[in-house]
Amino acid sequence: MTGSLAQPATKAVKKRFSRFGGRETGVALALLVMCIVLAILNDRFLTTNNLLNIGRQVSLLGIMAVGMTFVLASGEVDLSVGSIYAFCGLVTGMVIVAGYGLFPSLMVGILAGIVIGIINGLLSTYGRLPSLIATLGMLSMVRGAALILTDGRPVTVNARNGANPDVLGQFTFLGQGAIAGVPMQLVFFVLIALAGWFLLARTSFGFRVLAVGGSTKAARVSGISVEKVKIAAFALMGGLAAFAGILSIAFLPSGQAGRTGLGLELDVIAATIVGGTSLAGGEGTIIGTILGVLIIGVLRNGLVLTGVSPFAQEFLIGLVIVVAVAIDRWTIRERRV
Amino acid sequence: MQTDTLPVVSFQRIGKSFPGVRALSNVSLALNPGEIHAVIGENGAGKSTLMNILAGVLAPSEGTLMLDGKPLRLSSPLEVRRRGIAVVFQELSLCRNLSVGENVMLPALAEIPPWQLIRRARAQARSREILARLGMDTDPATPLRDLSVAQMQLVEIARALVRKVRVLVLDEPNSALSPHESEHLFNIMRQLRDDGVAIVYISHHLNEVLAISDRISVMRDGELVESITDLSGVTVPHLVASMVGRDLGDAVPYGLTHKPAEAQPVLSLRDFRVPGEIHGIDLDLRPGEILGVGGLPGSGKDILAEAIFGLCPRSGEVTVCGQILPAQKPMAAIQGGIALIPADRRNGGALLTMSVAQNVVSSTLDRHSRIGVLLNALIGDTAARQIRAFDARVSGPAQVMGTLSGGNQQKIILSRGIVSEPRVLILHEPTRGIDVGAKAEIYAILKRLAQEGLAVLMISSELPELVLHANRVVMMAHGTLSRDFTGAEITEQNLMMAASVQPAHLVAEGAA
Ligand SMILES: Nc1ncnc2c1ncn2[C@@H]1O[C@H](COP(=O)(O)OP(=O)(O)OP(=O)(O)O)[C@@H](O)[C@H]1O
Ligand SMILES: [Mg+2]
Repeated sequence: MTGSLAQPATKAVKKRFSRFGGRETGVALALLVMCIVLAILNDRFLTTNNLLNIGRQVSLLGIMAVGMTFVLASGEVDLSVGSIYAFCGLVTGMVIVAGYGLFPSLMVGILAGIVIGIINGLLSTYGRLPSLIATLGMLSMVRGAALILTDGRPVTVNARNGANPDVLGQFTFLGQGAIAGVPMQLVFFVLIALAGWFLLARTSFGFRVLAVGGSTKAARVSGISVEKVKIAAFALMGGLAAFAGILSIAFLPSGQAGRTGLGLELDVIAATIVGGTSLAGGEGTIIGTILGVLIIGVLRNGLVLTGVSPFAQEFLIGLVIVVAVAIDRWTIRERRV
Repeated sequence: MQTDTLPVVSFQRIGKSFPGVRALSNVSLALNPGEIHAVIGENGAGKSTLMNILAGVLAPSEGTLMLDGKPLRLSSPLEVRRRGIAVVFQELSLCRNLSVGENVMLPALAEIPPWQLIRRARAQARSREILARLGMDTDPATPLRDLSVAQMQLVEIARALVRKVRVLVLDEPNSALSPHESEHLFNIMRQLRDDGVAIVYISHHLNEVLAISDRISVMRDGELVESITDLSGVTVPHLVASMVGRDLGDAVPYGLTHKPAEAQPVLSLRDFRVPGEIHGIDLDLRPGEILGVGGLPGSGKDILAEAIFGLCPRSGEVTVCGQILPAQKPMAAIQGGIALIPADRRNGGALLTMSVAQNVVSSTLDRHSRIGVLLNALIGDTAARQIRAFDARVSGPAQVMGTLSGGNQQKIILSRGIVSEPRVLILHEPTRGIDVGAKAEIYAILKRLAQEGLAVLMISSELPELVLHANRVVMMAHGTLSRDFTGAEITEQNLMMAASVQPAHLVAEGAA
C-alpha cells in the first residue's frame, strides 16, 4: 500500500533487541557475587540445608513482593501490607481457635485481605487520594482493628485454646510442613511467583497494569479502565499479604497484633525495588522481584552465618538496598523517557 | 568552512550509537554567530540526537564538540546553559504543577544560590515581559496545566530567552503554533540573529525553513548529506529530494477525488457542548469521507476529539452507528467503533515505557489474547505487519517506545488505532512533527482507509493539510462551527476567513 514510498530500512533496523532486557542482569550478577563471596567465607552457606532455610525465610517476604510488583507497576504504592499481614493472620488464627475448619478459616482471612485491598484501591482511584496517603491511613486503621479484635493479646493457635486437633494439624502443616524436604512456605512462594510471573508477563491483565502505570492517559485512550486495573492490583496485593500472614501464624503458630509484621511493608517495597520495579510505575518484572527478595534473604542469612552483629546487619542491609538500586539506575541504558 | 567569523560551536565527526540503533555517524557541523542555521531531515534522521549532544543531555560515542574552538568535555546541561547555549527541546519539558511564570523563570531561578531570596514580583514581571515579546498575554500566575499545547510551546521558548544566549537551538519549536504565533517567533529569531546569536532551527515546515534560514543542513539516516549556504534557487522539492534521497514525485500533494457514499452518518453530534469551550454544535460524519476540522487555538477544536471520545465532560448527544454514546466512557467509544489518535504523543498517545509491539496492540488486547493470556506470536505478527505498513524506523517490535523519534512514535500510535478496525477514526494533529515522506504515507493510508469505508475526522491546525487531504472541511470559531466547505471551495483563504469570523457574524451566517 505504501510500496511506492517505502524507504529502504536502515541497517540498524535489522538488529533485534534481546528478549530479556538488561534489566535483571545487574541484579542477578549482584546476587551471584554475593553468593560466591559467602560460599568462600563460610562453608555452611552452600549446603542444601542452608539454601532451603534461606528459601523458607524469604518466602513470606517474596509472596508479598509479588503482589507489590503489581501495585508499584501500576503506578501506586501500598504501605498497609504489614498490617494486612498481621490482621488477616490473626483473624484466621482466631477462626481456627473458634473451632472452624481449615478451608473456611483460610477463606475468611484471605477475603479480609482482598476486601482491604479493594478499599485501598477505591480510595486511591475514585476517592482521588494518593495511594501513599490512603494506604498510610489503612496501615494504622488495619493495625488498630487487629488490636481491637484481639484486645492486644497474643493469639496462639493450639488445641488447648479450642482448635480442632485435625484442623490444627493441617493448619500447622501449611506453615511448618515440607514436601520432599522442601518447606511448604517455599512451595507456596514458588507457586505464587510462577503464577505472578505468568499474570504480569503473559496476560492482558499484566499488560494493563504496566500500561496504566506507564501513562494513565494513553491507557485510557486505549480503552483500558484505569480504575479497575488499579483496584485489581490492590486486591491482589491484599490477598497475597493476607496469605503470607496466615502462613506466618501457621508457622509459629501464634501472633500478636502489636508485633506481627511491624514495618514489613518497607522490606517488601525495598525487595521489589531492588528487583528493578520502578516506583514511578510502568516497569517491573517478577523475575527481578524474586532476585530482589533473594538478595535481601541471602544477605541476611550470610550475615548471620558469618556472625555479624544484628546491629551491623541492619546497617548493612540498608546499605545494600541503596547500592543495589543505585547501580541499577546508573547503569540503566540511555533512554528518553 | 570558509566564513569570516569563527564558529561558536562546531561538531567534529560526531557519532552516537544506541543499543541496536546507529543514530549519528561522522557528523561535522559548524554554528556561526549571526546565522539562522536550519537542520532538516526525515523522522529519525538524528536531528534531535545531535542537539541533545550539544545540550549535554547525551554524550557522543565518537567525535568532539568544540565551543569557541576548545573541546567541550563532560558537559552537563547546567554547564552548557551557563556557557550561553539554550536548547528548546522538541518535546515539552515543563512542570505542570508550577505557574506559567515560574516555568519561564525556572532555569534562571535554579541558578540562584539557596541563601538568596527569590524576588517573586520581579520574576513575574520579567516573565510577563518575555511572554509579551512572544505575543502572549497570559497572566504569569496561571497554572501551566491550564494552557493549550501551543501556549505551552511558547512558554518553553520563552524559557530560553530569559538569559542572554549565544547559541539558541529550536527543535521543532512551532509544531503546535498557529501561523500568527509562528510569525512572532520568526521575528524574534531574526532579531536575535541580528544581535549575533547563532540559531539552530529544526523543522519539517520546509517553506518556513527556506524563508528564514541563512544556511540549511540536511541529515539522512544519521549522516550529514549536505550543508547549503547559497540558498538562491533552492526549492522545497530540492530539499525534499535531498532529505529522503529519492524523488517523491508528485506524491506529496493530491486531492481526494472520490465522493463519500450518501450513506447514513456513522458519527453524529447534536447540540454538542463542552463547558467553556464548545457551545452546541451539530456534525455528521459519513463513511468514506475525510472531514477536516480546523480553527484557531481557543476555537474549541482542540477539545473536540477528546470530548467525543469521552476523555472529558461534555453534554449533548453523540451517536455512533445509531447508538447513543455515554459521556466520559472511552471504553464505550472504542466498542462503538471509534479510534482516537490524540495530539500530544508524550502525554497521552504513547506508552513510552513499553515496547513498540505493546503499543501497537494496547487497544486490542482482547483480540490479542485468549482467556486473558496474551498471544505473543500474534502480537509480534501484528506489530511486524504494522511496522512494515507504516515503514516505521524501529530496531524491532521490542524497541522501547520512548526511544523512537517523534515521527516514528506517531506512526506506531496511528497503527494502534487502525489495528482496532474502527468505523470512525478521529485524528488530532495527525502529522505534527512528521516529515514529508512520512506525511505522504500517512495521507495515503488515510485515503485508502476512507475508500474502504472508514469515516475520518481530521482535526488540524495546518490549513494545507485540510485543503489537500480532506474532502469536506468545517472550521471552528468561538466554540461554534462554520458551514461546510467542499470541493473547490476548500481554499486556505476561505478556511482562514471562516476561522477568524466574529461570533455574531457566525451566528447570522448559521441562521441564514
Ligand atoms: N535513547 C534512545 N535509545 C535508542 N534509540 C534512540 C534513542 N534516542 C534516539 N534513538 C534513535 O535514534 C534515531 C534518531 O532519532 P532523533 O530523535 O534524533 O531523530 P529526529 O531527526 O529528531 O526525528 P524527528 O523528526 O522525528 O524528531 C532514531 O532512529 C531513534 O529511534
Ligand atoms: Mg526530533
